[in-house]
Amino acid sequence: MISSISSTIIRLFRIKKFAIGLLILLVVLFIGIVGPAIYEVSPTRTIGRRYVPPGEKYPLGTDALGRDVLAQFLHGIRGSLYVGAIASAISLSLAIFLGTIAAVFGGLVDKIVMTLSEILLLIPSILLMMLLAAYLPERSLWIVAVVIGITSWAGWCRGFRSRTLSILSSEFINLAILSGASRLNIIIRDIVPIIAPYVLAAFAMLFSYSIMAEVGLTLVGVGMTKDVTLGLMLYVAQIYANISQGIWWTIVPPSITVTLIFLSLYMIATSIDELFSYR
Amino acid sequence: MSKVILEVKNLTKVYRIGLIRQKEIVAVNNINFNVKEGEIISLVGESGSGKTTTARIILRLLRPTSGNVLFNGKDIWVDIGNKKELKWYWRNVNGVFQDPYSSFNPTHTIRFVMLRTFNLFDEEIDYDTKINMIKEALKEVGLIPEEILDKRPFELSGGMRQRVLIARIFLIRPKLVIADEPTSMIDATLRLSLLDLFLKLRDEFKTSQIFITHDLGLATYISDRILVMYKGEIVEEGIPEEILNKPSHPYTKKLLESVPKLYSKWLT
Amino acid sequence: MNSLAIGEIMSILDVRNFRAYYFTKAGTVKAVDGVNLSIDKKTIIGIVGESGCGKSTLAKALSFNVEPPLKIVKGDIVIDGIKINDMTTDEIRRKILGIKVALIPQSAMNALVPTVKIRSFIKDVLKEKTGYTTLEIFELAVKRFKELNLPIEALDMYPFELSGGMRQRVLIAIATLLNPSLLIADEPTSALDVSTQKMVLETLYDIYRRGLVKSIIFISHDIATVRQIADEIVVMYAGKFVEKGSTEEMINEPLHPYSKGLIFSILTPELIVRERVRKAKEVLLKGEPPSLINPPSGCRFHPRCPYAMDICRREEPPMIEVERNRFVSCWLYVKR
Repeated sequence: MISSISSTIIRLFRIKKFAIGLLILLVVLFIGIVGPAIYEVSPTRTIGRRYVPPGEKYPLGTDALGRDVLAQFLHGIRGSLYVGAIASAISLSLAIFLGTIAAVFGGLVDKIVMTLSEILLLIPSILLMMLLAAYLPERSLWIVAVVIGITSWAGWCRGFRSRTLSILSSEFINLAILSGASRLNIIIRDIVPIIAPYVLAAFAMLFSYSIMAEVGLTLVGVGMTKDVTLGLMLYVAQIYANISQGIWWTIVPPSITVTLIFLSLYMIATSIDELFSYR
Repeated sequence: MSKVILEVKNLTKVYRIGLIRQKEIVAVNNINFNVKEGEIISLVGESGSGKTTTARIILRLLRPTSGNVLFNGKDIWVDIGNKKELKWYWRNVNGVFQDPYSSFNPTHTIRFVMLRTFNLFDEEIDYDTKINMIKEALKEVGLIPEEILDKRPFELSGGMRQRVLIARIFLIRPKLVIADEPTSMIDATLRLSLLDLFLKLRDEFKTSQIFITHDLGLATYISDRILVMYKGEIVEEGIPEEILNKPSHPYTKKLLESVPKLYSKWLT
Repeated sequence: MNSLAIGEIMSILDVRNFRAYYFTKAGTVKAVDGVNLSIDKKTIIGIVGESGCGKSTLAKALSFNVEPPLKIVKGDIVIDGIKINDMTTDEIRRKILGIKVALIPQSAMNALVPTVKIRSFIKDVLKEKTGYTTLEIFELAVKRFKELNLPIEALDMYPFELSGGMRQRVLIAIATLLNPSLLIADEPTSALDVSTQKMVLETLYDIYRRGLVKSIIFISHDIATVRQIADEIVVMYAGKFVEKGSTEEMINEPLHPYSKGLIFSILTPELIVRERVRKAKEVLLKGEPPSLINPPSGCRFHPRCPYAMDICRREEPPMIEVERNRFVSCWLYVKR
């Protein structure tokens, strides 16, 4: 089984899309994790005059409040990645858990899960955030991540439910039972290997969705207020009308990075899908 | 006088559909039949006749609504419940299914599929012996083990996959095999050699077999006895000669009439 | 069955050295690789073979359902004396399809439009090909339905309201409304219940008997069904025809080793089947039909043939006439 996992991984790397996507993502990850540790400037303190263009003293210049943009950028990547990870972890866990129990137990459980997912599909995260924004003047990235997580599991849940249903109705499950395999063995050796690629693809898509969602929410002002994320950078740039003033260094780096994160995850997700759907 | 190994008594399966307003579908309606040692019988019927449901109940994959299935005198739903008993049962009663595509998990190698069946074995067998036994079984069905063992199902043709399913039976050597349309998705010229493998099981190991099929021609070729099923009931039972030459139930007559034959023509 | 007015010469279909290939990324699939077929009298021809032999591709090609990656590579199709290859797709649709040749596909749902009633479908199809008024079209449909014992009520229904068998019979009636010379039926009964197959076959035969079509090509893997209706049977293997003869001769004494294996393997509810199967086992069919991307050299059947000789591996056998109207492509029958 180890050999089959490693041979699969090798095949995955042969797809150029996957390799490129993964490379981009790893670079961004590296910058986000290591960057703030190396560049020890605070992203939130005013350290100089505002709107200083990129130069020797401040590699990416300063923003509207005189803060170091490079520091913001590095912390921002980290923050966005946190949001992505937390939100997608919540969302994925809910989707897998609810989707599979709906398929395995059927009946009332299935109906409840389906109805719940339909209701949630109708509630966009923005509504929930607007409500929360009205009550909480200070919002950390945790709140935003949780809200995004809670409002994005519904679609993927249905996907997991239908995949599990189709696996359970396959003849090979019966054959496994007829070979004396225990239920645990069937879950580990039959269901998990088939659903694993879908889980990976779902995680990649959810991760990128969460990061984009955070940018969207923060940009309109209902997202976070405290911790630095790429979205917050863009929000600040937006309310201080940086574009019309020609202040590009607060906008271009975060925008490019967000796009790169999205693209790389998309490439990863689709190449996983391509590899595993030829069967 | 061969002994009876399987008895099906008053077997009924009713499905209830719907959560609040329930609808009842009677899939199997109070059927009775026996299978003797070394005997090959066919359950013949069109879709909806209840034959597949019956097969699943006998394979202990589906619970009946009422009635009993007795294997060597033991009621399989009452006397067999714990893990050890279940393994014993499936060591003695196992199956071959219709669809060579969905019968295999696409992520498993043939080696894994075959090794897994050793779960049913009580005795401790070391790995090398297991592999030898697997190779023997694969050879018995006309496959070359070295070419097959480490392949995944999608690398094999439909005919080869069905052979692997039959090799599994040669490995387990159950007393009773339930074959659910084992050749209906296979090309005509490959069908005979697959059916011959089932005959080999009977000739070499006295394996009893229940063939589930819609194909009356297939049933004629391979069975000692044919049971005709219609709407959940067994409407007629007999040896092929009786069924073909002296059908008594109107459904059997209709079935015979609607099947195209080689030596008589419908149209003139 | 072969009633031919004296002096009347018909060339219903003439196809020579016909080749149709699929050009795919994996390679070129030579699905139909050099077949000859001539129909010059009223007859029903059954083309039989297993999956992958090319018979469905042949059906598509003969009824002009050719779309990439399928391409007709060689060979003229001449129907009723008209050379079709020179015509544009548009001309074919307007002047040939439904008028000279019609196709019955495996599932009627592939041909009928699900969102219109049967009568509207008929009107749409016929308006394009003829100058008839809606009323004339309707009267023609009613008359034809009555002739074929189909309920007139079906005209006012949607396809999904009809049973599978009824849909297929309705489709046969519609496809032949304009009395095409040639009808091609591609597995017309395969998707149906055993009890409905007979009715559909009867409708097909009815059309033929009444002279509404001159000839039918019935393509199927189910030889017992083909045998019910066909006058002649052609066996196809790996993109080529290997044998041709009258139905009685083919069922009782096939000559080509593959035909023997195929025909004697048929299992029908007749007790004689056990004896027949013994003859099939003599041919001991092992192996599987070959890939059409890289077919075997020489005779395509040689890797599986118990009688294979040296020449079989090297050269393709010609199709020779061993008796009147009895053709086989096998080195065993070529006299030195």
